[in-house]
Amino acid sequence: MRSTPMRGSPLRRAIAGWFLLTVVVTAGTAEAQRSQLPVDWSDNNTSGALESFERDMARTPRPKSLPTSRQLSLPRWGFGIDLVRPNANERARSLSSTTSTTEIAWPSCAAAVPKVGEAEGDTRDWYSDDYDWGCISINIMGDRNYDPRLRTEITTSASDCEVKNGRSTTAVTPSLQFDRGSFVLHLRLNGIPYTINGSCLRGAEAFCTNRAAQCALVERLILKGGAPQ
Amino acid sequence: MRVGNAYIRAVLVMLLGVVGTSDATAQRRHDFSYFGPGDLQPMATEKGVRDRRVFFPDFAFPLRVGPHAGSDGQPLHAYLNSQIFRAPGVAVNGIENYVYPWRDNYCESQRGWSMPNCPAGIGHQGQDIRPSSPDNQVWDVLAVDDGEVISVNANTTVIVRSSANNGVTCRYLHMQPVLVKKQQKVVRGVTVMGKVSNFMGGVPGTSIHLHFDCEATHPELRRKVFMPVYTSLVASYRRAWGLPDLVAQRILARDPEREAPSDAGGCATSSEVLEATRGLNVSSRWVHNCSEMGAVVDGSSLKLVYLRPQTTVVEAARRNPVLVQGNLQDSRFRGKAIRFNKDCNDPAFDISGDFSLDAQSFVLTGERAVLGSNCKGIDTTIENLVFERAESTGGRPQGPDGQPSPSVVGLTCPFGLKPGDKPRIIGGVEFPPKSERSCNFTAITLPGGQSFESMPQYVQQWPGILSEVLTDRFDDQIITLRTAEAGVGLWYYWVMNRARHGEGLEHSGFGQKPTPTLAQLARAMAGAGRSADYVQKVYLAPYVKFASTYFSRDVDDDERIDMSIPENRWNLARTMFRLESGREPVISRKQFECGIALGLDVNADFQTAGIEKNPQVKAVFSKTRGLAYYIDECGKSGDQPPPSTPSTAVDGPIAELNRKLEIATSQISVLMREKSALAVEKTSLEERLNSSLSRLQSLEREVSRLKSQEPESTEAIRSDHLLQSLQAENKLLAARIQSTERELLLMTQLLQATREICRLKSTNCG
Repeated sequence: MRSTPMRGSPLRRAIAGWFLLTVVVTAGTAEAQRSQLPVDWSDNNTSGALESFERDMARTPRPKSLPTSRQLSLPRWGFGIDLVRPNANERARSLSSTTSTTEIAWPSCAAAVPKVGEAEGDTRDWYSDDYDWGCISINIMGDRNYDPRLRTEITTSASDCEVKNGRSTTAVTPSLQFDRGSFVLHLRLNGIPYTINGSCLRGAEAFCTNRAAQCALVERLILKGGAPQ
Repeated sequence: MRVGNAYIRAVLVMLLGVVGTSDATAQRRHDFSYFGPGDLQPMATEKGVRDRRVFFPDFAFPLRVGPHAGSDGQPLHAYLNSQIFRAPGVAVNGIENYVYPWRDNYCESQRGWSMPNCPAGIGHQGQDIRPSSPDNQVWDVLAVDDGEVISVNANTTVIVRSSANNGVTCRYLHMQPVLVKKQQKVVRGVTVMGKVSNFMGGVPGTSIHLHFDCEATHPELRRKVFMPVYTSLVASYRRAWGLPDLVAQRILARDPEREAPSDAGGCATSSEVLEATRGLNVSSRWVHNCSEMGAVVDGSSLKLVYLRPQTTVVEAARRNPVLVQGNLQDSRFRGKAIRFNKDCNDPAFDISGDFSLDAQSFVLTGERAVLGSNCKGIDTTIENLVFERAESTGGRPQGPDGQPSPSVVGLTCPFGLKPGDKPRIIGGVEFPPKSERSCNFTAITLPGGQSFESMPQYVQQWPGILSEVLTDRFDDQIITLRTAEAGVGLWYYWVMNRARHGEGLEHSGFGQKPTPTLAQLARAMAGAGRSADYVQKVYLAPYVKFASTYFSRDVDDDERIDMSIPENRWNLARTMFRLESGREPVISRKQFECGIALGLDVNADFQTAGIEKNPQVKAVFSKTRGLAYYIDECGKSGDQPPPSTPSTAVDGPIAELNRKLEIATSQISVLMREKSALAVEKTSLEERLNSSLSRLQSLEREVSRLKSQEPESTEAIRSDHLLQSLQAENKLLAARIQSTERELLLMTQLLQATREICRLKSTNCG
């Protein structure tokens, strides 16, 4: 068995050392400029969704479930396979208790199943997931971090779509002509700010100008990960 | 009527771009100016947000811009303005849109997005930015911050989350092509995100521009919203063009040269001073919501009173001219502000904030009740009272009668780095060193983490002081100054008034005619907490060594040096500066002498004010002149020349040549040292390259041998990877050697040129 030829290279060691130092310094700097919001897992819909999610996970044949410490520390709200007609499992994991009963003005050009691209931070305290249905794509991100220099204490529940008792209500003016092509919803779920960014391509323009339809999306959110730490 | 006039003015301004001469257009295109934050295009019906806070002070500008940013070294501009409101007849991508001044268009109307921070509750989410010219898919979009791409969609919207992990995300819209992928790490000011284009709805559907916006938690709304980014963009653009960003305490100061007066209407100020406050002795003047205010300080009590109120509040200000009153403790203000409401007797509410007389602006914040028709509270709201300095004095106190103190606008330390440049590291040492980059030649430091407001008054009030600081290797803060003269003056002031000496370091300063010893200065520089060994090794021994060079004789460590003799203080200064910079001091004799003149003038004003005795007092600069005077005018005939010295005693052109020769000699010395250092580095790199090449050859032989034995073996593949890795390393090393050789060549050429100058003057440059 031959040894790895470059293991002892001073240059490699220097580069590795520099890299390590950079990582440490960067981490230290970042640490000083952020604070985290606590997560409220206690409301009925979330705790119910969490129970269903954990049951689903237990049933899923996986090699080994992730330890809690390696899971997201906030609820990973996202969308199911069929946004228009969620299946029973998805309904059980829904943020809203009325998922199955509400209609959504979903564009007919949208693909039946979205392409999903997930991303999350190494610190497990934020995530950003993309859902692409072809003519419409939606990103949802949740993030516990904020800049402490802002000296903020988030005490109010401010959302573009108010979620009360699991139902969204809308009180926003209709969108105007220059808004076509995109929409943004700021939500507060479980005490954490979430942002939904939507883009509408040809055939889906109407959705991007229909605030009620956008807010109805909130009722389609289902729990896809995360665990109380 | 006002709206109509504003509209007509706006149209006329835009039409100038159509009917003006090409020279005039060129002038407007290349002379950066901007309207203030919240000053939306007058044709827009909604109001903007007049918030001067810079929420993202470290951002780079999102397009590649600057005086030499073009691939051909030509300047690249950007133009922030409305994509909706244009002069009649001007096309969406018409060149007439590519002009200064900039316009904020955060909260612009005709947009229906929910925007809690906009006065109307809806509006535009960010800022539209036109590139240098209306060419599609040409201009680079750059990352504004270090971060990670967290979303890219088919509509070419890119979202980046800042790596500071503070919840800040920014969006870049309308690009084509997009050159980054999800989860890619991006670097501030370096990573090209894509090209400016006109994509919207998946097709070319808008003007050629970048839409840029950022989300963060708003400090008053206490929720995540799209934040105002205009001030951050102004600051970063200024930096890209080598202008001071004018950001102090995270607030954008007003630039009287480049910030256009508001044309938005509604900001008419009363032409007469309010009778109730006429003749009041105010410490400083401020602008609040278009009203001119005065700060009245009496001990720890502070009042902010109306002097010339905005026309809409004249009656209310007559009724109640004191808007804010309370007490200052250190720099923290707590007190009451009134909310004009005649029917409810102008109710007061608690307010607080950081206040400093020499700040460019400050914000007082409080929660006030929203009153119903019966004057009872029905809700609460956060109120921010923003005060901006009435005159741009670079953060310095005012002189008598409100005249500005020493002007500092546009000045930067001549030995500082250009924006975006980084110091070179040669042999583990930074070039140029921090003491030069900061124009703080003895690197006077203050403990790390100390805020600017809590620094000693002589520092806070020193002309040309910057609130941004460099840090030394102990994380202490090196005070940074705008001019070399201000730095020399600060050093001399420190010697006269601040240097601690005596057996128990009980004395401060060596007085107006200082005669310190090298040993005393070494101890004062090291500080009380250092051991005698440390002082000897780090300060005194080098001082003695360097002094022998600059004084051209041995100087004992306990010899009193009479600093009232110009030659002595020049030699002593170079001795001390030499130790901090690690190389021949770069400062010229003229800069030094004019710096001494500045130090003496400021000292006189500080003595008059009693700065050292009373930390609360604010100096009035009656003797000290504007910083530009000490650069341009100081030493000219008939106007306070620098003290004569043997080398500058001869008047006229010969004296001037002597001064230039002195600078050239100093520069040659510096260049020689850098050349030596570069040569050492080159040798080291060559040795490493040779070593790597040797290793490479050995590995190539190994790979050949392995392939001949077992072509697909794991070991061979591993060696292949190592080979590729080594080849890449070698390429890097070769590039660095080439770069070093180029630098050496340039330095040699510069050296030759300088020697040629010396030869022409028949002088030995050493």
